Amino acid sequence: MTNRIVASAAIALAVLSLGASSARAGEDEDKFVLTGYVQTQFGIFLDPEKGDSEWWNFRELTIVDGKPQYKWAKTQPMLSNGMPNDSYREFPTKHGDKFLTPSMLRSVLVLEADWNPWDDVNVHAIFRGVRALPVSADDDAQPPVPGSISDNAGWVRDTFYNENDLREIYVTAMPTDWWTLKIGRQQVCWGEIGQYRLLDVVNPQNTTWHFGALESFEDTRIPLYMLNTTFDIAPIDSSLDLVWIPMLDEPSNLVTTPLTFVGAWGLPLAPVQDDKGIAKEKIARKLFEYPDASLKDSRAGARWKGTLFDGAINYTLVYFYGHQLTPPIPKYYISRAPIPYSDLHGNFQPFPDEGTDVYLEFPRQHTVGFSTEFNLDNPIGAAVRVEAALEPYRVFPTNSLETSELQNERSAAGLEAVEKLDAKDHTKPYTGTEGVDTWASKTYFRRTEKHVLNYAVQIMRPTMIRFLNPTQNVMVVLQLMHSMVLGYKDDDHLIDIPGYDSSKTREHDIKLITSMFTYYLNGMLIPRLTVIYALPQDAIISASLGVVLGNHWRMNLQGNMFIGENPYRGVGLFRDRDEVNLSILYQF
Amino acid sequence: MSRALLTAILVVAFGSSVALAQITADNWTEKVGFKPNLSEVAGYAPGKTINDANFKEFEKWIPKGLQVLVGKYKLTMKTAAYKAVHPSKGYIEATNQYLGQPTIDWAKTAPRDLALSGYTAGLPFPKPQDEKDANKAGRKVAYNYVYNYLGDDGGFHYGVYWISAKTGVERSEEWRWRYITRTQNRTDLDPKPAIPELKDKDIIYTAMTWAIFPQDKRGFAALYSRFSEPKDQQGWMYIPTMRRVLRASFGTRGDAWNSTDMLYEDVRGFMGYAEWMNWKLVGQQTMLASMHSGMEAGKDARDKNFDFTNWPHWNPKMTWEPRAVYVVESTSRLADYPYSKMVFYIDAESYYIVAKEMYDKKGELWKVMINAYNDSEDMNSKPMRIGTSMVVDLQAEHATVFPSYEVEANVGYPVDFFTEPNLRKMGK
Repeated sequence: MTNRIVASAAIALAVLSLGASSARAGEDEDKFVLTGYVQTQFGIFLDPEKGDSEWWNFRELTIVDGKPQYKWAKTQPMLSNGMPNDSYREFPTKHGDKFLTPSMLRSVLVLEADWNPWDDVNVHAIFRGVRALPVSADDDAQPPVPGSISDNAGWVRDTFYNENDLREIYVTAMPTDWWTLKIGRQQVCWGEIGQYRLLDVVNPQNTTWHFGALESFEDTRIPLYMLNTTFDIAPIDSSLDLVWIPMLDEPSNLVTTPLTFVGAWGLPLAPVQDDKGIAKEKIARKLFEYPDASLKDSRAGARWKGTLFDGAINYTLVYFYGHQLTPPIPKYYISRAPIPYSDLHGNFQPFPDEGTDVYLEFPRQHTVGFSTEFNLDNPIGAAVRVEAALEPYRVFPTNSLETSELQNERSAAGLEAVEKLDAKDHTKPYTGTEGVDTWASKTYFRRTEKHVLNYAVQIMRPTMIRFLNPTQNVMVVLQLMHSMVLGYKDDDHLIDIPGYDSSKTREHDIKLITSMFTYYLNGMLIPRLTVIYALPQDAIISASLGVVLGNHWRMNLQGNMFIGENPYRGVGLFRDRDEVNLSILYQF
Repeated sequence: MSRALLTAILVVAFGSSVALAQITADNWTEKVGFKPNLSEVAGYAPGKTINDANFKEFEKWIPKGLQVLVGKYKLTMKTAAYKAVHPSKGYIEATNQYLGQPTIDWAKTAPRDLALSGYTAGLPFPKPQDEKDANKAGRKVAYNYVYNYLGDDGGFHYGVYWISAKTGVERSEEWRWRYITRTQNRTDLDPKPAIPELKDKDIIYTAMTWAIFPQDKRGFAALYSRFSEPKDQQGWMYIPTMRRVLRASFGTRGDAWNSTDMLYEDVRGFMGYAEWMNWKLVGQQTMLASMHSGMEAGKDARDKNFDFTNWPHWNPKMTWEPRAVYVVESTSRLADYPYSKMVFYIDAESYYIVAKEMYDKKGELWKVMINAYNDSEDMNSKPMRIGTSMVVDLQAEHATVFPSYEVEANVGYPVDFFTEPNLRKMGK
């Protein structure tokens, strides 16, 4: 039904575009203007060694000073009878897909309409239709119910890639000179530093189709229905933005899309956990407790924007109460023990293991922060931006070894280490009045809360490097981001991504970005180089060449390289997905 | 000092001020500049068409750069009679009112030191050729250009065409530009001579510009302001793909505007401070320029105004007339400037830059710029309208032309249009 409505809207936009031919030539006085583009983006993996899988020997796991130690085994250990020891699990340490296989193929139609029925009222709408081919790398997707999908790649395409979406539709009204009101589905972009989303926390993100840092936030943010209003306070060169999100969108669109759901640019198959207690093969279902359209789940925020020293410095103060934009946090799991039974012949058989239901949540999150921006005059001639955000009580998942620790803690607190459940509904606790489910139990994951302080500094300087480019500047961008977990203790065993014990959270996470681009042949060629260095051993290198052909055609050829030491941590999660990516765009 | 001497000084001073104070629309040219010598080229008559076949006959009136455009690149110059122009009544009154007040501190030679003081409004230095020192005369011409009559505010709806002699029109864009040209030196619109809230911030010029076409540029907008002190301008950009207003850095000199053949400082001929350059008046002459180009306004007139079809695909179709010009050579005081020298041809009536030659580091002619104008709607209250602007890179055989679709002046744009909150409102 929704698709039908959206498709109808798209057709309506297309029909209107026929009547808006003059608008395409660009008259901004037109009451109705429709623009758009068609883009095809295609990538292939380039790692020639992909396929030579390595083995990760978890049986060799030892705990030294409370820390897990792993050993790598290149070959599968053999039993004494000469047969392979199948109790050793194979997990790929190279991700992506084989050399020259597609990393993505996606065609997009975007229609963007502006309608000005009156001087102070504007209606803005963006439709995006996407069609993608399934890529074999998506066979590695981890659907919420493992094994329930026969065609993973097709499921990923249909669920996450293909869309007919009226991404944005909102009305802007300016009842007075000092009051602007935007109502509808939209994106709100706070913060000053583009590459990091420290204060850009209003919209969640979907980066399932490609590596997030290589795509525009404009395309990856998930627009939400919201009320967004701005009050200008001209006498002091300031303004106040207020945002309220009543959570009217699809629940899965209200949060950042988990990357386990896709394969090509998602997280690799989760390895066996350190204690193998909730290993992947035992998970029957992942159940996501999405926020819903209730007042208690609604989000709200405010931004104050002002200037200092006669406008020489501008700053913002931000507060937002939303949900964590991290991967979902495991809350508890319900495990059902195998039930022995007799078969038709009276033989005793073990009942197949029903596995474990893992419940994941998206905790609420306060974010407070500030940003500032100023220029350093000639001869430095650079724009400087500083942004900081504090996330109090951010919830971290913990290493799976912590399950037993948690049980000890609960026992010490006089709580059941493992809760009994109601026999009729084993999602509910046993209250003592109904029957008890003797085969199911509910075990909480450890939930650790820490304050997190993030800050970033960006210096952007147009620089004339005459020997490289005699007529155009080279835009040089340098960025630093530092994320600190306050009160960090190694013994907390915090991890960044649940289910990936190796993604151990660092107390200090530091990233450096250098980006440079310039224009040649009067803007026809746009070479760009970006290097992201994540301390201590990870990096992403991206080099691209944009081509501008006439008023309609745009092309971008890009090579991306991912360097990560640990295949299940940081950039290592994406390593060996080196690719070349080509996009061709026709705009109108 | 004897009483007789004092009396004599006062009489001379009074006499001089009376003589200079009598600048009017009718005598504007003689009082502030000079008239073209219409008889110095034999065989010239208004209506004559000058092209690559006959331009040598008129080369006295065609500067070096223009000769290349006519001789090599087939520019055809349809001529008309000289027609005098003058600024608005308000600008003339201000010139009279503040006459003699502007002074230049010649000791200040650093590019970031403000050397002009005492200037309020109007033309600061009538008849700059009376200054005997060529460098000082050149500087006075430069100040006259910087504070020439453009109206107090205005708007410009224009196109940008990137053109290769080899392949023709490469691409085009469409922009709008609104500006308060004079925030502190106003002559036509109230409040005069300054808008208090902008004067308090020392802003002398503020502008908003935004792209309309094509799709990937649409929505880009920039707000920028210049200050009394000859420092870098300040401003913000709205980047649609980022949905953010970012503070822009203008610390780089000698950078091309929007990947065109024109530097930021080349806008309108020269969009910088007189203090940034050394100026030398090297001549006064008559040349063919396009002060009444006859170019039709509007997008539909593009093909009438330019020959995009035939090689070299950039030639304008406009009317030229003999104009008196100051020839001013300029070199940069700023380090690492891409031009080793610029030669400005500055109209001696309007102080508009009608042509400009830019030389590369080797001293070879690199680019030629032409600015063309159209009749004012009403010369007593509004400035001449921009007809077109074009820059030809002779070495790359590439040009950028800026067709004019609509020009407005003395509109009375509200100051709060030129604010960062309004820039944000213009975005998504």
